[in-house]
Amino acid sequence: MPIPAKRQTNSPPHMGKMPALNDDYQIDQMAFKVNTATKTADYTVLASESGTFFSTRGATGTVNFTLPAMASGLNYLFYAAAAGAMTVTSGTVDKMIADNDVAADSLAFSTGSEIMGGAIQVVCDGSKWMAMAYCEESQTTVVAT
Amino acid sequence: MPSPSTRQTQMDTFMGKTAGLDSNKIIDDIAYTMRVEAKADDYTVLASESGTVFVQTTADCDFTLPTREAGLIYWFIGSSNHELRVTSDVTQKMTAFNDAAAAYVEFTTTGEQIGSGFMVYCDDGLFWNVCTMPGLVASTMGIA
Repeated sequence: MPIPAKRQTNSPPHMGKMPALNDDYQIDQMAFKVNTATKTADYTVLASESGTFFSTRGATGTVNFTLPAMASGLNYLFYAAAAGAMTVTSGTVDKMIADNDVAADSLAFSTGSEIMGGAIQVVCDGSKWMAMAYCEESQTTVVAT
Repeated sequence: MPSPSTRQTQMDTFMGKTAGLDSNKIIDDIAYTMRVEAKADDYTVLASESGTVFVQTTADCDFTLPTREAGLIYWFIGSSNHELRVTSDVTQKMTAFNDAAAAYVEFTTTGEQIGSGFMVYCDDGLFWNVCTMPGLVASTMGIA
């Protein structure tokens, strides 16, 4: 029997409700931990790693993260935990929305002394990567187009 | 019996797949609400509260993080003109803007506090990584 689209699990209902889901079929007040990974060299991200928070802790040079083939809902966070530049690059050119650019190639923290502590979160809508930067007021992001 | 690390649920598999997961073992199109907690005093955060949004309300708040464990994640938001500080469980185990070994981060400048906040998660190197969310472009974050 097909599973209704609103269900998030295949478990049977209990007292008319899906286990752990609210009336809107959402996991209510979800408590969770995120998957984490550290990369100190260039890395091509996998679709199966969606939801992962990547860090550059320990990197001695620049680190470039290349995103996988676009699919709606894929999302990642990249954290610059070292002093070297960190770049997040779309796997296909002109497919990133960032910094007032609807056809960017990449977004980076690459300005000396403004790198560590910066983070870039990306979400794919199926046709573009939306890139959002977390940064302190004096940190500069650099977009390539 | 321990559940394999690639599983996100402990349900039985069906036709080679775990219930509710896609072929990448990911919970697909997850829909959820976040746990939100209002605080008006200093508070020591619990590991079991991972995923929570803490809102500083009517007084200064110093949030102390729990013992580091990879994957723990929290949001802290200021909703009033009071100080918001997030303190590591151990000094020098927090990474923030230009500081690889911080003890805490904060927003303390009057007029720059409302809407300012931090997302903090623990990486697999057991450091707290601080993602800064200034309420204003010019909101000044303090680091020690």
